[in-house]
Amino acid sequence: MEAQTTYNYKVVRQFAIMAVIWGIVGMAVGVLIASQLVWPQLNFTELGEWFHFGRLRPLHTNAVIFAFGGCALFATSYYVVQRTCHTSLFAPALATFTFWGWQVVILLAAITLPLGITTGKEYAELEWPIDILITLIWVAYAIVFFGTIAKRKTSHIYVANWFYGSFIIAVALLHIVNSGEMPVTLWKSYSLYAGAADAMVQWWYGHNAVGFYLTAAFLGMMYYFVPKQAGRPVYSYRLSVVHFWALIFTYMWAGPHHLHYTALPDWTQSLGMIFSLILLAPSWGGMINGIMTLSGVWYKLRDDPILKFLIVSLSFYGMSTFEGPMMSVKTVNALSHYTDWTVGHVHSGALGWVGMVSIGSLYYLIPRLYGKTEMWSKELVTLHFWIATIGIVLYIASMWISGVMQGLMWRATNADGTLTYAFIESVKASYPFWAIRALGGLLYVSGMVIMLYNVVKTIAGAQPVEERILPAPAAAH
Amino acid sequence: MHCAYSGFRSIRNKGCEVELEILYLLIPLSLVLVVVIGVVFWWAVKRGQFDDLEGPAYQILFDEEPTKPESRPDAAARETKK
Repeated sequence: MEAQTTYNYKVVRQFAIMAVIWGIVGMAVGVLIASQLVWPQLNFTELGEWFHFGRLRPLHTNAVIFAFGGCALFATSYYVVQRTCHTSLFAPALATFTFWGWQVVILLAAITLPLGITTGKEYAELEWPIDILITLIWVAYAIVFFGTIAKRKTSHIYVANWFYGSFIIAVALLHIVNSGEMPVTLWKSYSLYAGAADAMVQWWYGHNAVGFYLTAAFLGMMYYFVPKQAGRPVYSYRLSVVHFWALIFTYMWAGPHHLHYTALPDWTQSLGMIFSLILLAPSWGGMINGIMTLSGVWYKLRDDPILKFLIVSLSFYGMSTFEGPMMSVKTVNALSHYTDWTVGHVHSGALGWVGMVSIGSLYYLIPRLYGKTEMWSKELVTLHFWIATIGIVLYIASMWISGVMQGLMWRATNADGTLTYAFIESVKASYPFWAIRALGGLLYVSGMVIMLYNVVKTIAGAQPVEERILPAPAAAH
Repeated sequence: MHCAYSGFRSIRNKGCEVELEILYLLIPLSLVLVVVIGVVFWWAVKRGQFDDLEGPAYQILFDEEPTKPESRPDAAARETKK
């Protein structure tokens, strides 16, 4: 068989462009449901139940996590594994299948969720036929990714690939265990687990999805694109290896912190809290490692908007990995649980870390897939950066304030032991903050629209590039 | 008193202590994972993946056609590492 001499960029291009488009769709649904909390008539009840908050909220989470985040991860992992292994993709036909299969999953989610077809398990709402399709795509993804690593032309496996690889394996395991369900009809199934056990499995899945999907995988992105954009090797390669092993050894048991003060046994809750606190160490090690990559070239931050995106994303990673362990402490959780503080925390990680590291990486990646080194307009990238940053700040600051306010109002008691506030009073007091949150989200999605315009201008008239695979540089060091 | 295992029921209290049987799945699963991760780590060490913890960081920066001089960062820094 003739060895392929160019990288497989087509599937990378497809995923990269769909990441931008699904980003706009998913975030626009987010702005809609944020607005529904302020203006309830936006539920469009007179049209039917399809646009209600409860139907659209899982559509928002699925679209941003699996459609936007997923496409960004497929694109970057296929790119990074080829370039760092100096070889083309293994089984490119399977890679093509992952692209079209993933788009079908997204479309099925967009149809079934508004129709109310759901398992009711948060971040795993899709019903069993779609779960099976996801499993097939994921197996194909694993074959392509690990096959490419197996046929690499370098002896060393670059650290970013370790992060991507652990993400692929962990998500497969989480998806299979958590999707254990008994089908009743084509679009209805019941969970294999019941009661507190179901909740335990659900948050074992849920938090490890945060750990391996939203953290480890995007760290793989960070460990490739931050050094490339900065033109500097990562601050400490040794630390990156320690970061990886420490993170995956300690992640698995943080999940119970989602179930503080529930029917879960007390010791399990405490175990979850302790593992969450331990996680601060590897998280901050990685954050410092990424940011310090700029040591010696800090001036580049002044006029490189892509580096701004990447470095600010790491700052949000550091912030939310400090906030998370703190919120997992049971006494803090007694105040924060079920309030908007949690929503703010999630979005500090989602918009700040996951969103910005993806956007920065895509701005690096997309022109290179079309034989260019720069986006069409650097000014628009800068504009996108500032709009997105202001949007995030409005979002998380308003949620911090309303979250703490809600927590304090719910726990306030009078001298005779009765509650000071009715629940509805805390809802009423939250309105201004929900309006600010919707504005923050609107700014963030506006940035994505600017990005799409910039991407269209960048690739208009440009030829998709077939880049020659260069031999790996000699291991001279 | 012996409590027979009866599927993934959550909390049972039929003469037995209240317990969460799902933990009998999740905790061993975590321990198995730790062993698997340990084996992969051992394999990586044995295969010399971590023998050089400097060079790989530089190598990813030199994967482009050498026609673009501005994309060759810090040649001097590379020299000093030798």
